[in-house]
Amino acid sequence: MACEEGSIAIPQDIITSILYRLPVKSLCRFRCVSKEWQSLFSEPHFIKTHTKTLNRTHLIFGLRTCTWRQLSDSPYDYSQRWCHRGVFVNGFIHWIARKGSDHIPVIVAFSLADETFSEVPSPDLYNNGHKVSLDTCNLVALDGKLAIFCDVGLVWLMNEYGVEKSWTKIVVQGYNEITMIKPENLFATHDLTRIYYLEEGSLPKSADICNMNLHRIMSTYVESLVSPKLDRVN
Amino acid sequence: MSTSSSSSKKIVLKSADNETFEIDEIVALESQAIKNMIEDECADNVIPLGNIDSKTLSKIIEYCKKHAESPKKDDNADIDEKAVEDLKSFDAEFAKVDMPLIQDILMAANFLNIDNLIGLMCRTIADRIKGKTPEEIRKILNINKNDLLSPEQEAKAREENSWAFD
Repeated sequence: MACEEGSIAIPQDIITSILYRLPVKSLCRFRCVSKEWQSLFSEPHFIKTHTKTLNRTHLIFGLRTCTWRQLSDSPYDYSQRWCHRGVFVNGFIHWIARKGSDHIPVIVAFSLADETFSEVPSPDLYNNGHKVSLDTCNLVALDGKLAIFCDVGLVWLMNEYGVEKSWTKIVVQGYNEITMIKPENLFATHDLTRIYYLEEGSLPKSADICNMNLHRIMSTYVESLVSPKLDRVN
Repeated sequence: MSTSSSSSKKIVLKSADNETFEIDEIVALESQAIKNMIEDECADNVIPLGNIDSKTLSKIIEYCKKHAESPKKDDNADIDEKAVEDLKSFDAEFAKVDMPLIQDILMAANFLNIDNLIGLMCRTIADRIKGKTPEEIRKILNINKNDLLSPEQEAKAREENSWAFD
């Protein structure tokens, strides 16, 4: 087989076997390699086998995220901003999306098990008597619990999954309405009663964070899916 | 090829460049294709492998020998962890070859139906390409130039998956 240096020529079925072994991020990047690959990555059989090969449930979702716009049975509208910010809690991946013609922001949960959508009741978001729109908030996973982080420096934590009354408001300390939210700069105490926003420059050393009994709150979907606990500084 | 036991049954494999390799039957049985041939009694004294050259075939035999000698996972529930680690590091060393040889081994393993080796080669290629750009992938895997997306489609796919390009 005549190949350029370092390149190989192998049949498509073997290439497919190789693709099964690639991480989700690579597959998403390779969607534009060719028409064949783009349609291959959307095939349910490919997604299923890929998941099975990697044997890690959370990867379904990464791949799902790639093909998000092709899920036809979602009644929700996902703006560009949120589409890669799913947060994994309790077997569901969560997004903030808009519903109906009024575009009401809601928290949507997508079930890993049966691939269906549902809504999670959201709390009354308010700050100094003013209503805060869910649209301006980020979802974060806080020690396996779903939380809403508002850019006014507030966090609502759902202590009991799916229970509307369990939403608890926490004021973020050290947070001064920074316009560019970096959820990776959010730290919480292990009992989840206090949350701190620590900016890059003021970020304490790991040992200090440990002494303060804090751990990082993860937010982007990859890390959340892997498990927020992996990144605990303790 | 040296053999571990002179009493065991031998199989002779002949490469495309007419080199012969005498191996223990147990080693040859790592190949499902050869196993089928032996079971169907259609294997002569010498099995000609007209599409596998001697360089590739000797690598394949090296792999099969090691794996035939290693205790199988399903033999014993509490298998020696050291043996597992040993096999792992053998596989890692084995895969440290250039892409053309990887391709030859993969094609041969596919022909001979050696599942573990196909898996190892696929994993190796996956590891080597996972961080590449789409352009590099097209080159490495010789993607048909007639199958490319239109510039608009490509731009859209890139935008939708922009996070994966970080």
